[in-house]
Parts: sequence; C-alpha cells; structure tokens
Amino acid sequence: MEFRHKVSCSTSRLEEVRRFVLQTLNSLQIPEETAHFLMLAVDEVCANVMIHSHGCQENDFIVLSISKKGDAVVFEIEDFNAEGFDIAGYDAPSVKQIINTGRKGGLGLKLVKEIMDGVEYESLPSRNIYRLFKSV
Amino acid sequence: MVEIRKSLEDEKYIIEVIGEVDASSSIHLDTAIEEAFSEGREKIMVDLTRLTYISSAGLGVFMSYLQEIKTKNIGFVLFGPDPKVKGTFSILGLDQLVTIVDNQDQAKAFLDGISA
Repeated sequence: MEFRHKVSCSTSRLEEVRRFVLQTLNSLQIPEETAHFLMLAVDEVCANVMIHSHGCQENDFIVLSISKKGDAVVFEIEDFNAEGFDIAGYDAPSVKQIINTGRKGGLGLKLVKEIMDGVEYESLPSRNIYRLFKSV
Repeated sequence: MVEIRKSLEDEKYIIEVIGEVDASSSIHLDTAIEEAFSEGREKIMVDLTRLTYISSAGLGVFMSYLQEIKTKNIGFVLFGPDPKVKGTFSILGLDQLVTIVDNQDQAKAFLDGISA
C-alpha cells in the first residue's frame, strides 16, 4: 500500500508534510521515536527541494509517497521541471567547516544520511526523484 | 509555527522557544538570538521545554553563533529539551558543541558558575 501527498513548494507547508509522515508511519505501526526521526529526514529533503530547486514558488509542487516494502519504509519525494540535486553523491561539509564559516545551512543532508539506511537520487527528463530507505 | 518569548531574570536573559522550529520558522529564533547579542546580553538561557520539533534550520541557527559566543565570552546555555529534540542535537554530535542541561536551575547554575 502506498500513501501519497501532494504539496505546494512553500516552506510554510512543511508542517503539513510532517503531519502526513507521522500519520502514515503511525498507521504502518512504526514506533513513535523512530517515526519522529524519519519525519525529520523527509522534512529536510522537502525543505531542500522547495528552497533550492523551486525558490519556494507556491505554484510548483512536490509529491511525497510512503510505502512499506518488506521490512523497509520507502519515501519518495518527486518534483517536476526543475534542476535536481544529487543528494546521494553530495559530499556535505564537516560540522567543523560549517561552524568555522558561521553558515546556517549544510546540516540538513548530513542528518538525512545519518538517519536513513539508504538515499538515492534519480533525474528523469521532466522530474527528479529523491528516494529514502529505512529498515524498521 | 513557533512562538518566541523573552524575559529577564536575575540579569539572565531567557529566550523561550515554543512549538516547532523548521526551515520556515527558524528566522524567528535567529532574530531573537541576534537581538540578544546586539543588546549586549552576556548571560543567555534558551528554554526548550516547550519546543516539540527542531530541524537542521534550527540547529544551524545555534551553530552559527558558536564562534561569537566564544569570542565575546557570552554565557549561553540551552535547557529542558525533550528526548526527541535532544536526540536531534545528538545525531551530528552538536550536543557536545553547545551546552545543554536538563532544567532551568541547572542553566542558572551554569551561568553563575562561569562568572565565578
């Protein structure tokens, strides 16, 4: 069974994304604490796509799908007609580098990679798919 | 949605963060800390007791002030995070870079200790 949610590319909609993730994981009987951190990872990827690929354009949207395959939960975040970002190949700066430069960004994808068991990026002609896996 | 409340107690400046800090709302936390610094506050406690969620945007706000805290010798402590919020700091080891204590009394003691 797959759960899908379409949301506008506005960071004000992230709260709605998180509610959807939590409700879905609850229905899949994922323990609350695990669900919280999976929600965090999905929030991070959605925020990145909304901000960096779509400039928070409210007319653009992303589609989030959640499914359980065997003992893994799979999250797919799909966006359309935008330049994607290879989250799997991205080599994030170290925490030390981030602090030394006083920058506020850069921690999100590090969190995603720590929380998830697998991260994939697929770029297709008119859409990009960000896929996150976690064994539960 | 986040709500920020500011107060002063025994020369200690308290920033209370209520709700959820994400990419949309982290600007409010950033502004509150920036204001405290520009007002010359030297002892700052951030009350996370009623913070229910923090994403990297919020973590990044705290990390971006670490250098200034050190350079200006500002007393800066976070207190009262619930296990999920504390756990979010721990994922990348950020709980080792900023002082986080369990409650307000410990936060006060920390700030009093560094001035002794």
